[in-house]
Amino acid sequence: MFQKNSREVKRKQKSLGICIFITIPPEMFINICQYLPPVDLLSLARVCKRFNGFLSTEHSITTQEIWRASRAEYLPFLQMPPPDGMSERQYIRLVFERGCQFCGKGKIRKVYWEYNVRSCEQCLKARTIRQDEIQKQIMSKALGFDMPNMYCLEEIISGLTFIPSWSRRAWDRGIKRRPSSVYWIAHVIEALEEYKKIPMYPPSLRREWLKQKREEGAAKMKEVVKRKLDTDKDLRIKNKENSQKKLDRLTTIKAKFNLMKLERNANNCLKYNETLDDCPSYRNYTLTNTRLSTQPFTDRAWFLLRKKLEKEYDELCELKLHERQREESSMLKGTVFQLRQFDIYKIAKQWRPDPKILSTDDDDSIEFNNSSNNEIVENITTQSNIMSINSLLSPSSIDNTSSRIQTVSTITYPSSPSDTQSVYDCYLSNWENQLSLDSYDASSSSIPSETSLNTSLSTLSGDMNYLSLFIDFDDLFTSNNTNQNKSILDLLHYLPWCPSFKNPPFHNNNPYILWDEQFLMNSLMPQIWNEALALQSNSGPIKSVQGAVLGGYKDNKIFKCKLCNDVNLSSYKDIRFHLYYNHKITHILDDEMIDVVPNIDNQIISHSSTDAKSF
Amino acid sequence: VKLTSSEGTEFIIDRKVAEKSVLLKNMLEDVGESDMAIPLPNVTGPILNKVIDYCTHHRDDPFVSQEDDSKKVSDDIDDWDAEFCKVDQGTLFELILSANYLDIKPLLDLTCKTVANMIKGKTPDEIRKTFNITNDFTPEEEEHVRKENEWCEER
Repeated sequence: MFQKNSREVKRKQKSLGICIFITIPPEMFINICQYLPPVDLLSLARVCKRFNGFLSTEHSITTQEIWRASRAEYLPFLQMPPPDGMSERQYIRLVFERGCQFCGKGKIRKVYWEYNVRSCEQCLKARTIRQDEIQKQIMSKALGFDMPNMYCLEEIISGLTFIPSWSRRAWDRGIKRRPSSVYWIAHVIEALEEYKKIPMYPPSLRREWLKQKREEGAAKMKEVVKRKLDTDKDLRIKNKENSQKKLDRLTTIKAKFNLMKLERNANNCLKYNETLDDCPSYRNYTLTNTRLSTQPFTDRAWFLLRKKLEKEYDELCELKLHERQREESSMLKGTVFQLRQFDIYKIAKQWRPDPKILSTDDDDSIEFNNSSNNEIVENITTQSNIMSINSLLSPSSIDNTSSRIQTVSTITYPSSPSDTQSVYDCYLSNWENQLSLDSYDASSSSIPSETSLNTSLSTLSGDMNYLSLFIDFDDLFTSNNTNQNKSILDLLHYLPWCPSFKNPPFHNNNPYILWDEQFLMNSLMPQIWNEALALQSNSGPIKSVQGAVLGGYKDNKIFKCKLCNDVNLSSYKDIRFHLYYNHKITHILDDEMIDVVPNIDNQIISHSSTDAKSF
Repeated sequence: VKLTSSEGTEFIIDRKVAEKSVLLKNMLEDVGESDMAIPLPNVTGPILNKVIDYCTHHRDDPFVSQEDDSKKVSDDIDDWDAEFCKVDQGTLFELILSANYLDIKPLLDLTCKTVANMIKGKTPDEIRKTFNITNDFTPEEEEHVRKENEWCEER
């Protein structure tokens, strides 16, 4: 027989060019099927008549065996044999198909093992009956059933499975309705018919039948409970798996998103600001926990999401820009002027010219710089009308203000010890070089003598003010090695003195018109950068406020108020506080209000001597 | 041991290799060793060559009894076997038939698993395409069968 088959195969292959798969003997087909889970068997049955024949012959023991083996192997939660009268395939379909088996309503997967149906609530309601209704309905002949003496109704249906009263369906709930078990109408009728057929005499016959049914019913209910447990366990495991998958997906999205937020453009500025968080797509993908997909988040998915995000981000920014412009239109011109300066400042914190190599260390170096930040803080936050600004700003803008204050304040605090240490080391390594620079000339007359500086340095004991002084010196000294230092130019240090910052180039001379990103990045910032470079190489005469501060003497007590006759000298910071608090000046014009008394040598010496004492 | 394929080509193999086939093993036990070539009219030369390849590679594997392969997973195919099964479908099915005929259980399992893997996760249409099977259902029949075997995708 086998020989014949084999020959047949070859012939067919040659003549028709079709696959021999469909002609293989049934034994081999079964052999292959044993490696397939039920889901693939169902697909296979739809391929062609032959396979369908192999798999759909419900009465064939072989067919049943294929399905049974597959179920036993691949469906760990479905190890119980199918309920009485159900074939293996029907069993699998009952559990695995989706949708109500009566009305076809989608997505239903709930199986009522009491009745072995997969049904929606409506169909279940239509096909079931409450126990206390059965008698009424029989009396009124609503069931199309005539049965006069109902004294043993309860016993007659005792062989049936039912949904117990304590797990009532939603439609059966309510205070007026007494809890009652729910029966499948067709089952009830069947049982009654069966009972009716039993002859009245001898009575033992009916008694026997009832007794048998009671036992059957108890056993069946036990089975139902067990099936429920098994399939529920599966459901629970699945739910757990799915929630894990959802979590994984969410983590992936968030990680990718956070990486995106850290991206910087060629000028070292963050490409995206906090507006990115507000993009609707991102919210859709992460905040709605209910309908999250369980699919893993692929690179391609990210690529598409990212495209969406970029589009939404641009739109949102545009919107916010308009909103801001509108809000600011009602503010004082001076305030807006300073808001524009703040725009520059925010960018200047990160901005670097576009060399291809930019180390992240740049950010750290910014931290050392104190004075310019202080100034900005004063300019912005001590505004007399800052409160009114706040009240005018939308919630998100208030966030901006608070975060801006926060960022500024974090910067003004001394940096961490490790940082100061490294700066100190760096300084010491340069020290020898600097000592040999006998003949530096740029404003050398006003710079303290080597020896005095030396003494002041030797007294260094981790004092932050001194340290920042050193750094400034460091910059000043080493500015001759242009190439290296251009990249570590401390922009914020020079920013307040840059002409383009002091008097920004507004469009149409109107500070209410906001600059666009393009202009800031590609025109204004390079301009300011160059101005800062110029200031770095020549910060002006020491007698000017600018020269003194940039020269690194901002903490020395060489500044004097021009507006009062107070002869006390104070540091740059203090003098500004003085101007603000004593003279209520919000917009400080340094050159007109502050005098510099450059008896620096004395200052340094007096400083060092006090330090020496304390030392 | 000498074997003759259906075309009459002779193959000479180790007894140990031959004994991977239960059919040959029983024959050899019954007849005893002789110079006579064993005719295998159901197996063509190229297929027999493949079968011998397989048996030679697995000559030292422990013999797996018919019944104790409890694990019926289809993704435990090792690299050599996977490579071995990279043949056209015609050859693959011939191998199944030969393995069945010669009674080489591991080879039968391997080839059946390979076919099963080709079926797994595919829609009926894809299965038809993969194996070049013509759909011989009428549209009404197909609708009926579809309803009978419907399996919702999302799960």
